[in-house]
Amino acid sequence: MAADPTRRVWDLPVRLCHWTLVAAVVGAYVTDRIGVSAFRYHVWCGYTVLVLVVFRVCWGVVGTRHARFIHFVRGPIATWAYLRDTLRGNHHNTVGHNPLGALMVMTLLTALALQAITGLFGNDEIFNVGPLYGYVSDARSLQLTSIHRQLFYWILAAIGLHVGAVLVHRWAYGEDLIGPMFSGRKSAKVVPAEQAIDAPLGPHAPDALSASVPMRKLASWNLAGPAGLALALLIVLAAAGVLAWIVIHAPQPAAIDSFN
Amino acid sequence: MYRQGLYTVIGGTFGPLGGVMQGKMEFKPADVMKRAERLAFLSTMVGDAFPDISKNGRTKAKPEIWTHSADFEKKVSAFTTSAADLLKVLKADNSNSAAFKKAAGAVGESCKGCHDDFKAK
Repeated sequence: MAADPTRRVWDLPVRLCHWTLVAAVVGAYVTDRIGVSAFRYHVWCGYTVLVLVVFRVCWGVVGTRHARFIHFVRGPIATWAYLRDTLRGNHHNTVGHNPLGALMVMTLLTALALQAITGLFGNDEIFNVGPLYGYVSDARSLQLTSIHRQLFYWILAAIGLHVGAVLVHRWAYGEDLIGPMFSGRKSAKVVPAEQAIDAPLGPHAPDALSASVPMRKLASWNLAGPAGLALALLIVLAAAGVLAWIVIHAPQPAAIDSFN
Repeated sequence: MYRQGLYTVIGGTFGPLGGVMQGKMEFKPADVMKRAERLAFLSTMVGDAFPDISKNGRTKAKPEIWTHSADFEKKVSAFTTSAADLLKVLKADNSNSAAFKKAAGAVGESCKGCHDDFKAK
């Protein structure tokens, strides 16, 4: 049997970002459970999450078709219409993120950003402090730590819902969403040729950007290829660099080598 | 207030040991020994710092301390034991050894073990 022809939907940066984020979130949980002596690894997981979220937001502006917010974030009316159709048993598969999935993408990105940022200012009331603890008062740090602790459960719930929805797609609609998040490819039957991310740009070039010449130039690069990888790497390095600069320049908490 | 004062002193005594353990601070034998001795003593005071009348008011002490007192006492004695162990390790070898780091880490874990269940966040 000949292999079912496929078309590319998720570019490599999107997929790497997704699975690294999974690893970083799991890692953050595990290092928290291991205990106070694994704190430094917990912080590294947090840095990773922050850099990835910043990258994903940038990629949501400049990335390939299905990575762009403008192609998948929908207003409340369209989202409601999608939900209503689905509940009526009239589900239609989407090439990229469906409107509810888009909502989950935005929710998780926002929540993870907040989680990572509050963690930077936190402290464990034993001997570990977040890298930006020196910027805030002790009371504020405890407040942010409290948010950091409670937000974890909300994120857990969101992840549960996300995984649950993916499984519903698998079992109720016969649509595999996990495979494509590894391979980047979906069956040609569900992806029209012009919606593949490596489709030649023509009348389907990102419409909202066609107004400005520099953006048109950007859009005419094929970001599904090596140029996209290079740009993605550049964004990640820039985000990591800025974060490192902020962390290195953060005021150190008052010396603790005296009896205080 | 008594309890908060006690924990402030415990934090101020132990915090720098955590710094030394993580390599952020220099290991000064006399200072480390003094802190470990004080910590071992202070840790014996925690069990008496939760009288019934201290349940209310401005406190982060969770009510479970008094409703699950057996579990709470176990966690407090884990702290006392780990602090005593740390002192014992240093008395045997007052240096920045792997055993010191392990024992100081164990004290930190005992703090966390109790905070996780019995301290409001």
